[in-house]
Amino acid sequence: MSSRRLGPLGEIPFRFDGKSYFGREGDTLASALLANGVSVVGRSFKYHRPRGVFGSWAEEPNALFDVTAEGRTTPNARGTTEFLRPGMDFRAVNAWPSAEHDRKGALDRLHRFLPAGFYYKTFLWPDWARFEGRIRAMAGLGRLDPDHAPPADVAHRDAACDLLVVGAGPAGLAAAMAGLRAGKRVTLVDDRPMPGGSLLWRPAIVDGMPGPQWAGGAVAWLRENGARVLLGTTAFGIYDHNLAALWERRGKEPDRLWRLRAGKIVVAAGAIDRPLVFPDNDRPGVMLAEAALAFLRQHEVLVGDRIVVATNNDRAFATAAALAKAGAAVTVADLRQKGPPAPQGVSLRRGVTLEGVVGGRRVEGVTLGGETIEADALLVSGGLTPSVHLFCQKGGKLAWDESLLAFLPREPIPGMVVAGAANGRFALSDALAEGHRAGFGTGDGPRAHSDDETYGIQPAWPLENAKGRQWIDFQNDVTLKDVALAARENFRSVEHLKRYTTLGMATDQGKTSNLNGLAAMAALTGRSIPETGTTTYRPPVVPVPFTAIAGRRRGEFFNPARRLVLENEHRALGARFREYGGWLRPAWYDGDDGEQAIQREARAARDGVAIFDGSPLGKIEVMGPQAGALLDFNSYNTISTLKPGRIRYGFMLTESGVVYDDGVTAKLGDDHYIVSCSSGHVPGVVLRLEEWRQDPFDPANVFVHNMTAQWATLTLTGPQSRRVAEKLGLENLDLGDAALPHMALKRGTWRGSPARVARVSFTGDRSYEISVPSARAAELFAAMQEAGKAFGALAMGSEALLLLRAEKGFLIAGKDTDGTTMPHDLGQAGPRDKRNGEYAGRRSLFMEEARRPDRRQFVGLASLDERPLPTGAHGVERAGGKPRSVGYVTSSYWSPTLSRPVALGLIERGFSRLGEEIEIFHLGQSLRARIAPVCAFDPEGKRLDA
Amino acid sequence: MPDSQGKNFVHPEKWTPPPADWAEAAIQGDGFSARRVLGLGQTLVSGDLNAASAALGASAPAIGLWQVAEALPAFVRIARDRALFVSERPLALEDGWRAKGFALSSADDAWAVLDVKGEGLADLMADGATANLSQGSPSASTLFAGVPCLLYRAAPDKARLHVEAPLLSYVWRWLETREG
Repeated sequence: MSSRRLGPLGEIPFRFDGKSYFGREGDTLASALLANGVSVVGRSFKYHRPRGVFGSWAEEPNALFDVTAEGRTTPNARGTTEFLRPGMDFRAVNAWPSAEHDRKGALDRLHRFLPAGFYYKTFLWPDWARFEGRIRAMAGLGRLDPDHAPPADVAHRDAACDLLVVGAGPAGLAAAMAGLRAGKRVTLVDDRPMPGGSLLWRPAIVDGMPGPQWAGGAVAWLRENGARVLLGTTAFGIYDHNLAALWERRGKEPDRLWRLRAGKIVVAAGAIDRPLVFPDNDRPGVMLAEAALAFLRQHEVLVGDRIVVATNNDRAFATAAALAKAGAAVTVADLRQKGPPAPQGVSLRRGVTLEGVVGGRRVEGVTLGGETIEADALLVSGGLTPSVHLFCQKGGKLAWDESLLAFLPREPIPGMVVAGAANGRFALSDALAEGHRAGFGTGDGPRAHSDDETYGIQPAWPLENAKGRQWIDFQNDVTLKDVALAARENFRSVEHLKRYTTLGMATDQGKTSNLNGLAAMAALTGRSIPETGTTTYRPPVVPVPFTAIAGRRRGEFFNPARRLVLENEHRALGARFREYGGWLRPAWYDGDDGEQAIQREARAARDGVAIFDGSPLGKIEVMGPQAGALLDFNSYNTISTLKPGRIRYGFMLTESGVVYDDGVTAKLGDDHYIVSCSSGHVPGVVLRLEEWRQDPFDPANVFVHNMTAQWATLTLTGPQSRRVAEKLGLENLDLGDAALPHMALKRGTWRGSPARVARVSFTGDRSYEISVPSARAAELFAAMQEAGKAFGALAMGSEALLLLRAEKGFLIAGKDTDGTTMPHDLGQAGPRDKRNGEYAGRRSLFMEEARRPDRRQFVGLASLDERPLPTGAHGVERAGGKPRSVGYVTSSYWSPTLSRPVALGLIERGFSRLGEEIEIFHLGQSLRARIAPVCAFDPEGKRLDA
Repeated sequence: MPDSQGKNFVHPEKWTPPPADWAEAAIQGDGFSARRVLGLGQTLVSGDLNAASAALGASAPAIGLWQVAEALPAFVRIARDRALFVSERPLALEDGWRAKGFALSSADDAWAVLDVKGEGLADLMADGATANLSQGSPSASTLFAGVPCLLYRAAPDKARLHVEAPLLSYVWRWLETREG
């Protein structure tokens, strides 16, 4: 191909595959390369065959580039939709060192050994894993720059409108204007930066104006009258309730992603020219005829000097005329016997067969009916394929139109209508009229005149007995022989064909290949095209960058952590933070050496007193006459039998009997309870309580309030905790053990605010959980530190608490349990054996699985190697030398209290194996441990009241 | 390795500290300003809302999504049987069940309240709120910046957000760093 610019080349510098070029404002990367006469712009996916620009917009299968601009590298950018900016440096994907001279180009010679699915068959022996790495390294297209993390700057915007029009071509503009005149709130989107669609390259007069001028005026009128017009915006997905996903490119501004809810959607997405299938139809220089016209009209690029236009329809004749007028020698090869007369200056051959092209890296000739004529470009037009993706995404069904040789929307679906070329209205006047009606228009719509109102298509499908290598899917290197192979191996369903050959699965989503692929399968299997059917259309219509999908949800905005009301106070004390159950909490204080700090804080708690911020602990109030009954159903342990002011520990189970969470519940009265579940499970526990409340119970008589954020909870723990608590000045509260024993709760006041004090311990030592409204938390924290000074009180982070509870054998649900752990695996079989009445998960506790004798049970593990066991290490048994996991270590610490390691684990038949030594295996290393009771410290529980 | 040595999970630089003084904190963003509203009374009420209304403030209107609460107190609706009773000052009410068929909990500190206004308010709401504000809803409960909140207006040109207090720092940072 000797493509060139008609007129000045341009002054915008850019580099492609290491060479310098110049382009113009408004150029796409593809048009800029064509303007510079670059014919090979990429290499094919599998065979590394040289490829040229084939389309002019989103249908382009070949021109994919890794683009670096303004220090940002974007992989797999489509050269036909990416616009040129000064200094751009881009490289062809899947080629090295360049598309022109690709080192893997020789792979094409091995094509006989690389048919569809070859790797499924070839690399079975000795095993796939041996080959996987190298094959995966060869596969794929662009390369990510690991040093570059694009900013999380894409806003997600929600909006609504009465009428969304997709496509600002003739039909779309007519629909949008009609809708606005009908008083609708209109949004018009088009993926191009300019309105007009096909009017941008197909000459026409609309309402007395040239097409582009009319389109520009229409958009100006729409905007002036309140319509939202988003150009450079792709509607890539339609979801439930007419939710449209729109990806907006805004030039130098960050992209934006819209979630637009529309009362009605008009899909006026146009149609795409279809390739013809013939030997070597993928050579650089073979191009869609419509694309060549678009390059000529939009970019002043003439794609060749000696051009053959092969077609089975009338529309390519206007293209041929325009190219001839631009100075090319043009021959139309009409595959039909009858058609329009030859345009002025164009040579016409009727009823010819297209037999192939001559040339390897560029077209040098075209063989027509046994005769080869010299040519540097072959333009193909096999008919138009309507863009019905969005219609099908919404569940619309297609019907085959034999006169247009295309699938068209079969019938309207609620909330959506398809108009214009997307609905088979290829004549401009028809498209305008249908768009007008689709947009609630009455009377006459815009009037048009153009020279190409006829279509006259005749079939030119792939032949089942064709010779040579004929490409169906350019981007994924799927040939007609691959389709035939799939048919022979009985992958005849189009869905199987797609997955076996990867036809239509590339980043172009088969825009140019799907119909030819299923037509080929139809021919090979003796079925009609509609009998063969289409594959499923799924979003996105075009590739959308992950930056657009992710939006701003990265870093601290990704799954945002809940923050303590005392965070600044903890920071002032030198806290190091970690996420625990979705909360950002102090892991330890005062220094980077976490291990030392944790040990220090744990010793302080055992020896004197520590202050712990337990605010994230659940404070779920359950209120109403049926509160007790709801909690009994929700809990493994009976709750309602508590006396007011008392607290009970217990489990909540899933329906399958697995421990979901543990925690304590306090009873304030028969109609008022507080559930204190673990921090990370609060939202889940609230949801399950709500679910049960609204089903077996009377929802008017029991309510669930999650008041976790209302109350800050500061815990004093350690033998000196009571003395510190007594100095705080709690009012109307008797802290004596008789009035407030372990597992009791009292309400009073503190400095005029309500206060709750609970005797609950997660350390095994005497503890006071003091809750006040969060606004008073800082004051209480300061008071505790002041009162604790005399007793050496330290602020304690979560890590020390986790260590202390492990010494006691107190579990953490989800850490010391897994998706199989039932309460009797934790030594809590009482309710299962004795409790009457129904509760969540009960029935599952009596299933065969629940009764297995080899269940993994919660035990302590005493390291025999004087060092902590690795968390996650497996207990193993070796039968015949082969190791078998019998469980694993769930928690492990160095205990400063005991001066030895402590660990917990889930071990098969653990309860019956106390005292037994087992092997602990981790990353190739074996250790020894003795199975022990879970409680390693103060098993009698004397320190609770010490 | 033992649990405590999983230092890979410590990312001190990941989270931006919250403002030291919420009373003084303010955002002057691209076309909008935001500040925290301190001192309002908030009481979570569930059950018979008519009975609760009679008990708490007979004239308090029910406020749904994007509706204007011209004065307080108001019942900001969360569900058919749940509302946040918002008053000028905290109420000294005892939490619990009421014989007339409703439950209440003091929630003065459970939600942080933000007022947002400015000529760019509509764009900001389009970026933050997923609900169709022009359509409205009897319930003010929705998502803002991807997290649960109550959203209505304190004046025709002033949005009011009740954000779960532990998520305030996130929402504040989201507003601070938003670009138009």
